[in-house]
Amino acid sequence: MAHELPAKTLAGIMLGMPLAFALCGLYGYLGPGTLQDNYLVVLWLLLPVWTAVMSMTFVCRSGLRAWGWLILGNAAGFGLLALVRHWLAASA
Amino acid sequence: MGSPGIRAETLRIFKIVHTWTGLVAGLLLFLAFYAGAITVFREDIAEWQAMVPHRPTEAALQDVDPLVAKVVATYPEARRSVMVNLPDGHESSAEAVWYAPDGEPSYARRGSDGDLLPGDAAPHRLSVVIDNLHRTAGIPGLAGEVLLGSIACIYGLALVSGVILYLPALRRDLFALRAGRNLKLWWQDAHNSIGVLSLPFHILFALTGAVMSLHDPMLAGMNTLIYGDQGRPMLMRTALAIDMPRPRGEAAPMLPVAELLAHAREHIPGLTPHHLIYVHPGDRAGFTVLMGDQEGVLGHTSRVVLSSVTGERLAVEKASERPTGMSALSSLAALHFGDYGGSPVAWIYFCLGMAGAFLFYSGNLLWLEARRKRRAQSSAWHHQALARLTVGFCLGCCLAISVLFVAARVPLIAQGGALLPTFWGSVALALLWSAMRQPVLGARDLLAASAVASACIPLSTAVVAVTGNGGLLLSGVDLAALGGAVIFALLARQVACRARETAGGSVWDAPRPAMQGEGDSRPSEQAV
Repeated sequence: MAHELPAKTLAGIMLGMPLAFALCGLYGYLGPGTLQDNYLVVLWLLLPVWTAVMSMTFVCRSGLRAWGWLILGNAAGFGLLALVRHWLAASA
Repeated sequence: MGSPGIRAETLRIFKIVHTWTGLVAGLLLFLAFYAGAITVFREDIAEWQAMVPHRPTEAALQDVDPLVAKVVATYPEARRSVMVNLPDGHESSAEAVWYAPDGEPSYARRGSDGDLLPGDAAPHRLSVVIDNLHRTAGIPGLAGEVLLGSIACIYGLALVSGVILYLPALRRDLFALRAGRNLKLWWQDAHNSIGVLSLPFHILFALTGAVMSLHDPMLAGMNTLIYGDQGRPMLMRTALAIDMPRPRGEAAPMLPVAELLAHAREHIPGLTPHHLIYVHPGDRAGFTVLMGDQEGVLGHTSRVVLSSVTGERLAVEKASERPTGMSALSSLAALHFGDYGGSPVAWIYFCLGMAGAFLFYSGNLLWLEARRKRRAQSSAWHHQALARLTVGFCLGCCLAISVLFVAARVPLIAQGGALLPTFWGSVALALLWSAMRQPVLGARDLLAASAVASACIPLSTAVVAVTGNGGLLLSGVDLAALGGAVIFALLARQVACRARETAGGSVWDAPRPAMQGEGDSRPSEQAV
């Protein structure tokens, strides 16, 4: 497959979805309003963010790069999310 | 095609993405849009089937107190909470719904003699069956919601890739509908124009449709991945507008619903509830959530939470006074349903829904037409198969929905709960028919059959009225069906003309004697 679309698609589904959760989770904790106010906004943000991640995955130069970027993104996203939660729990 | 800023390679990739997302999701999206456009008129359809107008909410409210009391007394599972659906859309009277611990719903309503009528009325109700086809393709439970939700996600990707793909050409071609000798250009232009002009509407539907279908798995994911298993209380608070109190275990009489509503209207004047939720009914800590729409506000479902025992205000959530993010979302949900502007908006939604269905049908046809260059290609088995599948499924759905309306008038089918099997049986027959015929002839036949079935809809009303079982004479639904019959007949005639043309190399060509033996071994069909 010339464009390595199967590899990119798989990466976008398997890693793009968790990345969307991490990014939207950051909004949930850091966005305007309380955690409770942001709860439903997070739900509605998930799929647009995932669609954006998925589209960017297709633009990656190769399937391998797509997997690499998404693994890095997930590590950064969930690392940041854990830090923010830890920080908020400590300051509460 | 080349546009500054977008690499040719990127455009190529998005073209593949657009094609494949369209081919994978197109057929079910056609059904979702066609059935969804008709669901806009669910209230009219429910009244058409019942042949009596909906009871006003005030009348149905009289049933609520005895209904809730009886359900709670009869079914222990309803003691945690019981919901009452009031007249709105599908509902014509008061219906109680409660859930077993595993999430399985039970239903009951009040019979004319005051007794409890248990059981799910949905399989007997035409408007609900069509709505289910729209939301889940009729597949029950979570599986159908996840399937259609995933289809909506793929649809979102098709929209993004379609926009990126056609962005460069759009500035030039948006309003160019090249009607002329080149039929394929006309279809391409129509596909692009409808896709772009109704793009905001399509984005709205991809998003709201996907979220409404997938919220259960998504909320579960949020709970695990984002909130460290602390998400449940936030969900309960979002759903009920207050923190869930524990039952006290002390019985206390509930206020009658009329009094609760009077209290609620002190907080939101003019509130007409469409749902009531009784939590811990009969307990001193019990409360009632009254949910309804606020007049003049584009926002879904305002809520008043009152103590069921004292009527004391526990929470008020007005659609007009939500935090910014939330109010934007509640307008989004309201925009999906299109019930905010009376019949003009309903008809606009109907037309946009039908245009959307056309988008998916034309998308598949275009993919096939792009491959018509050489005669040998058009009879490749997979092009033939896709053409027959597209025609059989899409036009079969049109036929089957018209058949459903007529079937709803047949007591054996409607009361026997056989509406959904009737739908899929009709689609299966249509698929079988189109599998056996040249695509263009299959299309002509199915359109003609849809015209006949649609014409039978007002006829069925007339038969019921004449045999003395009905109160309502020809309603808007019958007139619309008649209009549909005319449109189907005109389309069938158009397709029949197309079948007589010989453009050459298209899967839409009817076979001619000269073309036999060229990879097509079926016996030749006589073109009209």
